[in-house]
Amino acid sequence: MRDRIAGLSLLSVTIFLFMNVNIVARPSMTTKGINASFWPKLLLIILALLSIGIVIGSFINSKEKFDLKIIFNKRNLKFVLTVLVCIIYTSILEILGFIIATPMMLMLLLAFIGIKKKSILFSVPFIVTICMTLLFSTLIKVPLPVGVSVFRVINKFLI
Amino acid sequence: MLTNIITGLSGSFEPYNFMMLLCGVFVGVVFGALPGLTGVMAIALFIPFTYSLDLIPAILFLVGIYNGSVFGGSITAILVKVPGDTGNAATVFDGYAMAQKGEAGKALGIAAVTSSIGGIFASLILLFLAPLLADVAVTFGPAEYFAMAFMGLSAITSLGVNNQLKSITSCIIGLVLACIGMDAITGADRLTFGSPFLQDGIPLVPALIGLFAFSELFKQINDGIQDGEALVKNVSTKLPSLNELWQLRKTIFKSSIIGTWIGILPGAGATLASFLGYTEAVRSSKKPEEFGTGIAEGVAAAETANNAAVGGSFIPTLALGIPGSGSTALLLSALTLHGIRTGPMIFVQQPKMVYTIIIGVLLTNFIFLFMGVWGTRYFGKLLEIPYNILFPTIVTFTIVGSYAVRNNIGDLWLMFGMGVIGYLLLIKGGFPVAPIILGLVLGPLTEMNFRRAYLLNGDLMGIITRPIAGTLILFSIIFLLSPLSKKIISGIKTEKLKEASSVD
Repeated sequence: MRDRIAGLSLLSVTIFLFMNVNIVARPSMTTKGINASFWPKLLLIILALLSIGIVIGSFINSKEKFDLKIIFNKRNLKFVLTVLVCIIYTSILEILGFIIATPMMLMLLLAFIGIKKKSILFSVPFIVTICMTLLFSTLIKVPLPVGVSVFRVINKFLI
Repeated sequence: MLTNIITGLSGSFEPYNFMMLLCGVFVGVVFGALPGLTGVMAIALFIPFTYSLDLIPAILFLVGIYNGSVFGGSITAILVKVPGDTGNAATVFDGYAMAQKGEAGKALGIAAVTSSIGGIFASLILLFLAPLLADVAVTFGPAEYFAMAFMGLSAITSLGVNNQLKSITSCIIGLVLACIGMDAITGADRLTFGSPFLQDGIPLVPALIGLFAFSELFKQINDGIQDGEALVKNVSTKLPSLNELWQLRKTIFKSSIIGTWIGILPGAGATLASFLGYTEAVRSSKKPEEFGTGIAEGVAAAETANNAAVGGSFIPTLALGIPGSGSTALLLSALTLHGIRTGPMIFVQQPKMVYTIIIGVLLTNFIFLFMGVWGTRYFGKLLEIPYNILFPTIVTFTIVGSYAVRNNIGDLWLMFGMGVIGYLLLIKGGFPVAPIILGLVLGPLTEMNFRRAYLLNGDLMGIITRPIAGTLILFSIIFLLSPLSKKIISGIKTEKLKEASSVD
């Protein structure tokens, strides 16, 4: 069943990319020999064939019936929530700055992983972020996002 | 020659010079071990520091950084699945798996010893054969580069012996990802969907961190962990025995040759060397299915090759003035800043300086061997840190490591995106990780050189009929089909045995 879902998903993505590679890579830009869209097109055709192979293989090898629980279960919900946290974090990182945004994200991820002790949940993310900021930003002079407006002032003050 | 070697030895062992070499290796190991901070960045950062130094200590310091950083990247690759640099990506496959089995000490020890052996091998080649090999390297054209990259890709059928269909699919996914960005020959945008960020292509560091480290973090979040529990219990910091190292001799020897040769070729480098070393070890192994499960050969093959490439990259740099890698390009600029012009005449005009550098390259391998072996007991213990502390540290490392390379938030999006792809494909879908990375690394090299060769030679026959390229392509096809032929042969043998037993 896993293979069937993986194969069908891959096939859909491949078809979508194949339709787009035609538009984006203009064959007119080729001078002589092989044009820019040849290689991705060739690879996508091979990928589509392989995906079909995986789907067919899954029908031959597995008699398991499709169950929605394979996709909609508690573990996958946790994964979706984690992805959402990552998306929100990346969106707000340049607004809030590294020192403010990172501990919040770490707290949520620690809660997701199953850490229940409040002392750890609230202390470790801050300590780790401060240590990393000291190491990268202060010691090695790697610029980290400092945020905008008032957050910039707070970040600069803390760094 | 002997006089020059003695001069080089005396120059390198002068207390001040040796101290600078030692400091350089230390800085290099630290920078290499920190994800996102590469050897190239370290050299670039420290070049201004060397302005005030004399030529020889300045160059020895930078040489130490370069060699140390390539080794340093293996530490985090083995312990937390975050390769310090792209050159250590292949080390993750077996190094991390060994650490998860509680053999962190053994994996780190093997990485230190084999990196050192690879480096020493390349340094000796540099010492005795530099001008000769540099001349051969310049005869390598796009057709030969393509054939070499194709040879690396041909190992995919050996990499995924348990499920070759998924292994090949993974590799093609890697190759498709490598197509994203502006086409280097025509300038056309490919699969960028109008995004300026994607025009530069997929940057390797965030992609590798996402595929390796963040996909693993997603898995651990889903699996959950108890408060205060360490991820790996009973971590052994025991170093590999001499007998264990002796059993790796063939792998080490082959990877040393591959790494040195890849290093000599301009534009290749430690990443390609480690992948080709690894794939060759898988291909020639009697038990290829064991690779990726945490075996010493995997770590030895990758680590020997990447450090051998460091030594090899000095050959065109010194003998021809053509840098073999990004780091040697910076070293070349440092030499120019000190008024030195490299090229064939440097061996005659500046023998003391050249041989001191070469001996310096050789000595760095002994220095990081000592550092690595000494540090193993401490590095290995890192895994015993409770996971509720280690987990946020790794997450922060992946974030800073991805962001620090170009200070671009887009790299962070890419890292998370690759983490999601990695989790869904590799962990949920059961697709192997090694081929996707192989495709991503070798993709641009394969395509660009194939198209350049096609343009230069006019047609496909023009590529195949070149002696070196043709031979390499022929071997690649044999390698590609060998797992299939083995299956057919074993099938025929089983049939014959069945027939014989039914007659009896």
